[in-house]
Amino acid sequence: MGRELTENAFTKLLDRLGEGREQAGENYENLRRTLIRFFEWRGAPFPEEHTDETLNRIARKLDEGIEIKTIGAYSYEVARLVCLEALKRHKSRHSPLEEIKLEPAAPDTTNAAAEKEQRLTCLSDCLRVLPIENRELITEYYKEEKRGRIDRRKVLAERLGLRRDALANRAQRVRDKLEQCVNRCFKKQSAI
Amino acid sequence: MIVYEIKVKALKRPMNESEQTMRRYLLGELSESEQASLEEKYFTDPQFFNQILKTESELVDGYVRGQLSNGVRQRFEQSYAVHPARSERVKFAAALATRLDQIKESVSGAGQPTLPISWWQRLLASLRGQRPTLRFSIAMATLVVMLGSVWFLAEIRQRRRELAQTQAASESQQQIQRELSPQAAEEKRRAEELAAEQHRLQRSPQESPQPTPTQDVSSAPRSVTLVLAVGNVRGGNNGQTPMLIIPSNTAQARLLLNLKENDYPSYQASLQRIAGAEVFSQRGVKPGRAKTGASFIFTVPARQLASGDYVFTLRGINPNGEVDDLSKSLFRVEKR
Repeated sequence: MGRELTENAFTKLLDRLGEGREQAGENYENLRRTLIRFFEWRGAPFPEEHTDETLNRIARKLDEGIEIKTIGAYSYEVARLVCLEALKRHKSRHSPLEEIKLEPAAPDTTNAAAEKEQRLTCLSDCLRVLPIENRELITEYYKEEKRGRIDRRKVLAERLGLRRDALANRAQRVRDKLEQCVNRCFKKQSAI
Repeated sequence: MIVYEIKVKALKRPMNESEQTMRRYLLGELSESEQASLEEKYFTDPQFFNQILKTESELVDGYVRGQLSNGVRQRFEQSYAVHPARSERVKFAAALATRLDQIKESVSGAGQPTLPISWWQRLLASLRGQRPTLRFSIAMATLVVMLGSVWFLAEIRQRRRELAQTQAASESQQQIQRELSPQAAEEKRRAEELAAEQHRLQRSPQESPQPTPTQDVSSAPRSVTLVLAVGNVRGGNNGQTPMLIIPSNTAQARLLLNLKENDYPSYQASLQRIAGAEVFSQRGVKPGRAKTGASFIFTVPARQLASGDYVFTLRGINPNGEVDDLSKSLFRVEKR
């Protein structure tokens, strides 16, 4: 992929993302999250690698002295370019035979059941290590009940003293972290 | 612009245009320009990005719960779920839905709790918002107090158990003593009678050494007793062989042997028919209390004794475990 990122370049990226390390770090994480989702939604093969490549390119440009007016819009342009390159590379590497292999095969019910069970175990473990308020939030927010979901979430937001959109964002963040935890756990278990 | 009607069975509110566009984006149904426009927007507007995330979660949850219309479900499977990372997201959503349904089923009525929460998590939750150092100090102090309490409770429980055992043992000992007192008195009385009888027989050897069958109280089983003389281990007894007559209705026979000295911490006794089988053998025998020497009483069920000659052997076991022969008493049994 690209060249290694220097410490100086990375520092310049953080400086551009926010005033003070805390704010810059938070914005960096938000940008990274956006990039990963972008590559996933676009169907790029390795979303995390493409994200790192995008961030490296932005940092290097900053290190070279390029002035960036809107970091979000600039990031998108770089990401779009990285994505196109990745998709082109990926497509050229796939032979017609490999594409045939992508046809869905008959489901292996035994493996699927074992995989589901393993994922559930990972989920239980990940829920257990969540801070208690986050665990209660995710179970309350996403549970399925006959009673209206909107009303229930409204009550939950009032109880936690949050606006409804803030509650939704918080629930989504917890969900994303939980998903990452489960995926890590599942890959680890599958590798054993 | 093509407007897709996406019907979600369980959705309680109609989707606005923005949400519909987001769904179409996630399903790969936007044109290149629409897609670029939406992407640029979510890169520059965090709240818009959060809305897409929310829309995606609802779409995936709707799929795993079977709430999407057939058309949307098919497009979801053909477009969204084919990508490895998105496929993983679908599997995660399925697991989450399963677990949440299980939690809902396990919660009864108005119960609030969702998952089992350990005490330390509750403790940490209650401390959130404090300064880290203070939080850690409070947590450690609480832990120390809790561990101390556990130890203290365990200690109290152990002491109570020991006290209860001591009391039980004491009561048991008292009960045994209460039960044995009449028997001991009776044994003592009989031993004295037998000693007197032995003394009388020794003074008049011409008389037959008949044991005195002792008639117990009417309800008790009948028993007979033979006082054995300490036999010469090397040369045997010089006198006439003592005779133990066992009437037909006798339940048990007692053998009494007195030693002049009590030099051993424990003894071994055995009764064997001459040229026959061993009736019993017992190690670790302790003598009964006597003013001097050692007194032994052995009770044998009468049915184990047949007419014939027997030898009763007593051995002393010293503290080193060495065994010394002390007495071999011959006697004859006659059952009638």
